[in-house]
Amino acid sequence: MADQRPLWRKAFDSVEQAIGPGLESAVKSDEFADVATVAMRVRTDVARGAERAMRRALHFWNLPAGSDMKRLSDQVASVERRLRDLAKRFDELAEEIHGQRPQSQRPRRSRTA
Amino acid sequence: MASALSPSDLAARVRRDVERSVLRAKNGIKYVAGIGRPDLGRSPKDTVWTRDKVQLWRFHSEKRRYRPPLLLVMSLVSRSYILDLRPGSSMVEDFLEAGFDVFLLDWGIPDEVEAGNTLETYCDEYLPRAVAAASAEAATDGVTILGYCFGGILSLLYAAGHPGPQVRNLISAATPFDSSKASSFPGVLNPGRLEPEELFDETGNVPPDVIANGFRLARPTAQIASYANLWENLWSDEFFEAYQAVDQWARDQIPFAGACFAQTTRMLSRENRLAKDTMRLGGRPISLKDITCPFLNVIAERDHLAPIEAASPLTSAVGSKDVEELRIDAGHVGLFIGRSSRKVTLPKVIDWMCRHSDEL
Repeated sequence: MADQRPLWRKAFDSVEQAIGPGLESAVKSDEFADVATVAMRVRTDVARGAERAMRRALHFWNLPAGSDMKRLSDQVASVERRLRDLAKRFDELAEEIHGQRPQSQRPRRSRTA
Repeated sequence: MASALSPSDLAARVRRDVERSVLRAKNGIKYVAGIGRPDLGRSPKDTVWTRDKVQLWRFHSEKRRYRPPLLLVMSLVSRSYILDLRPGSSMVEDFLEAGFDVFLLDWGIPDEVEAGNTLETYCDEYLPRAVAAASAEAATDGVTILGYCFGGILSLLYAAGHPGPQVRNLISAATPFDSSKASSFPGVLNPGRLEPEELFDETGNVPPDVIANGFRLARPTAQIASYANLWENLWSDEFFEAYQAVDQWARDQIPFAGACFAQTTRMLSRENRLAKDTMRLGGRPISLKDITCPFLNVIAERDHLAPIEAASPLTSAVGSKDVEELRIDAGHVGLFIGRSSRKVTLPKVIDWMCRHSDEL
């Protein structure tokens, strides 16, 4: 069967076939991994430095910084985790005492879509 | 040498190209403006069980004629609606049509609260309860589990760690079993380079863009080739709608729970414990030899995330006597999405399931 692809597509495919495998093996090489590791660490350090500077400036004006919000959200998450653990313990206790399926395992029917 | 076109052929070709250019412009504007995005994952269903952010859905059907029910287990890093993409291109729809009672386990979107979730959370806490809930809901003693991608790994760990009749059949699809041959995050997370914790964001999870970049590295030209496909076929409304659906899903990545990512990197990727049969969960050894139920390993031959050499050794790693391997000429996503999936993959998987199920 004749090749129906337009000219630009044939050109694109031949370029992709020519450079694709080389690019894939370059990305899998140790050298690429080393460079990517350094780049990611530099990016993290720069972001951390900027965050520190911003935090100092905001705290100077007595304003909350991102790190304060993060601390708060960590605390909320920790409270939610404790609540979950408590709920799970209650379920297990209920199962032991009554031999019934815990609340979290009982079907909760609600139409989703 | 190309033959010369007659004037009427030339006119027809010009007319076709002009028409296609108009359609291309129309769909191009829609794409750029984000207009007319399809509604995804819309098959009617009930939420029959929840725990934390995890939900178990049961799809509506009046055609159920097989048991055990089918439980679909999705990966942790992508949205589950890929399995129920849109009418006419939904794996769920096809299983329902074939007469199966279909459940889907949706892991939800992790945030700070889930940052501490480990493989044990998923395989020892959520999965056993979800399986029990699905069995109770369908009034059966067991289920057929189909785990897709990393969902396959979770299903294997669960089935090996909880051997028993509750798993009647196990299907693993596009599962990167032998991590030494899989190719996401190439090299960057090897020992001596980045530690998994260095990829965490402020929530303690790995952000979706990091995950997406890790996948992109496996095939660096894939994105641009996908745009070339889009440009070439942008005139076709059918292609455009399908492209938009998959593109929308591919952009809709979710964070990877931090503790689970760290564990996966160390135990599964670096130490390749699953393939080496040295896996441990919750302090106890996990061996895939303890999986003795009928097992089907579905492999996509053009899968760049779970290539054949990473997925195929799984077939002989399980302890089941009734084992089959199904190789499909498809990519990682195309395995269960698209026309060839409907014509090739699903009929074969459904045939296997029918042979391993009871008629009601």
